[in-house]
Amino acid sequence: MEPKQPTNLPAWLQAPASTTSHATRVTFWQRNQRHLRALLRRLAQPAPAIQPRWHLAPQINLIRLLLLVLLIALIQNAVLLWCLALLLGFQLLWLPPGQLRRFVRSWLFSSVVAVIIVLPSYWLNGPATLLFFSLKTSLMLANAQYYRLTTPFQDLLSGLKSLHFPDVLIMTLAIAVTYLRMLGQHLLLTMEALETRTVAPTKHPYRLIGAMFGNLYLKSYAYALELYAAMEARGFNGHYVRSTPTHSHWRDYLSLSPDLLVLILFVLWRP
Amino acid sequence: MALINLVNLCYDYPNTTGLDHLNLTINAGEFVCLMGPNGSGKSTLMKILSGLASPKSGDYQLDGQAITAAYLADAQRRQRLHQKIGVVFQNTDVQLFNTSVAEEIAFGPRQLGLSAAAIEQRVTDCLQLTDCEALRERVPYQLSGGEKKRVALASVLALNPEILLLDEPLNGLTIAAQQQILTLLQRLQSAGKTIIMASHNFQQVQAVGQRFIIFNSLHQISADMTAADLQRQPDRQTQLMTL
Repeated sequence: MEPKQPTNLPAWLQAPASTTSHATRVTFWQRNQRHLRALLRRLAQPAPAIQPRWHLAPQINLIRLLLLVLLIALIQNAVLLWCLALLLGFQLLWLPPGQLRRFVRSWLFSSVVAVIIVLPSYWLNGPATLLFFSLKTSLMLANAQYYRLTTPFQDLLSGLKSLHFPDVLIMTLAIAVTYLRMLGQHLLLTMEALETRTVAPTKHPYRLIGAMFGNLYLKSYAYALELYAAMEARGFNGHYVRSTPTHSHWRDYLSLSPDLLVLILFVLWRP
Repeated sequence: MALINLVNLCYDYPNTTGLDHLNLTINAGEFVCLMGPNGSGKSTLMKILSGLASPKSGDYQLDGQAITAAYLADAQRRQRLHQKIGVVFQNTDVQLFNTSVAEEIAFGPRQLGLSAAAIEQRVTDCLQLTDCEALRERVPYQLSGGEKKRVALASVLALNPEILLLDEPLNGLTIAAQQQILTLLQRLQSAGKTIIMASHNFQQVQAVGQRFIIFNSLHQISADMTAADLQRQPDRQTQLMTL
């Protein structure tokens, strides 16, 4: 059917728009819009922001992190913990000031959250225990934050693949993270579109939130079906293959030596 | 009269440039086409003009009022800006979030505090203007791409904005539907609205555009010319055809 030509413009559309002025009753929704947008923007951005000075093979990076977390969890000796802290400090020395600030910010935030939420049981055992476990937890979190900020998500997947983690796990992780970013981007754009049509405080903000998330659910469902169909159409058979196999260099193994040294000390040293 | 005035405007994305020292004046009632290859900065400019992003440096003045980050931080002033400028996004999927097309169009007028009869009048008029009467009770999510574009335009028109920013509004439409939208836009311009339309398809807009602002891949304006100037430059037209 041929589309009709538009009818003449109605009188209200030809009249100059009168800008209305509303009382600004700031709702919870409007107060938090900026924070939500900032969060979604971060979610929609590809990681990482910090470039490490030495680029190690992904699997070595991952082994290193696991080894460090394990050591910090097991070590009860303050000198060895100090050695591990020095090792991390040495790596941080090479970061530019801006990136170091970013690291410190996210590390402090996660440490405070851990101390408040995860560690209250230690509070009952006296200040010395609390201090010791708080230090151990923040050291663990500092290493994890450093890994998170310096490792692209693709490197994590490559590391897992090289360490022979199950394909299903890697693929689920890959799709989940990519998907999360995509949905974050969709929600961010929806909020921007909503903002351009928000000319007064919304009377029913929670109804709007419901409609937006309902739409997001429908969208994610449709995306999932399309994604699977596209994967099948390109010959997906359940086996997840990384395009570039990663090889370890002797320098990668050498980078593990300080951590291995601490491990040996941990096993052999009985003060 | 200068409605929009941009002086040395720069905008950066985390790893790339969005706009590089843009100088531009747009008068009230103009029909301006922003042309250029993908990623040249057309949509970024739209975002800044609509108040969704603040420039890194440079000045943006709308109707003599400087639109700064401090201005945009004030909710009431931002809402006044949104009432003045209507935006149709490139991806209209994100623009429709209500449960029916009629509700979608009524969303803006309802916030303006209009009476029920006035809201109904605006909904009916906008549905007629965009040839969407048959879609009135449909769920926006289930519409086709072209139908979504028309509903998005209707929902923006319902607010009676002074300036219309349209980001690739003709993509995904049939030739007849494109013509219909262009005729509507011309009528809106005759009624005094300022139309700013981004497109990378010169054939779609050459008949209606009065002024063509051409972006290059360096995120700068490489040419700013009237339709009459463009008529005299066949080489430039050929270049635009191949964007």
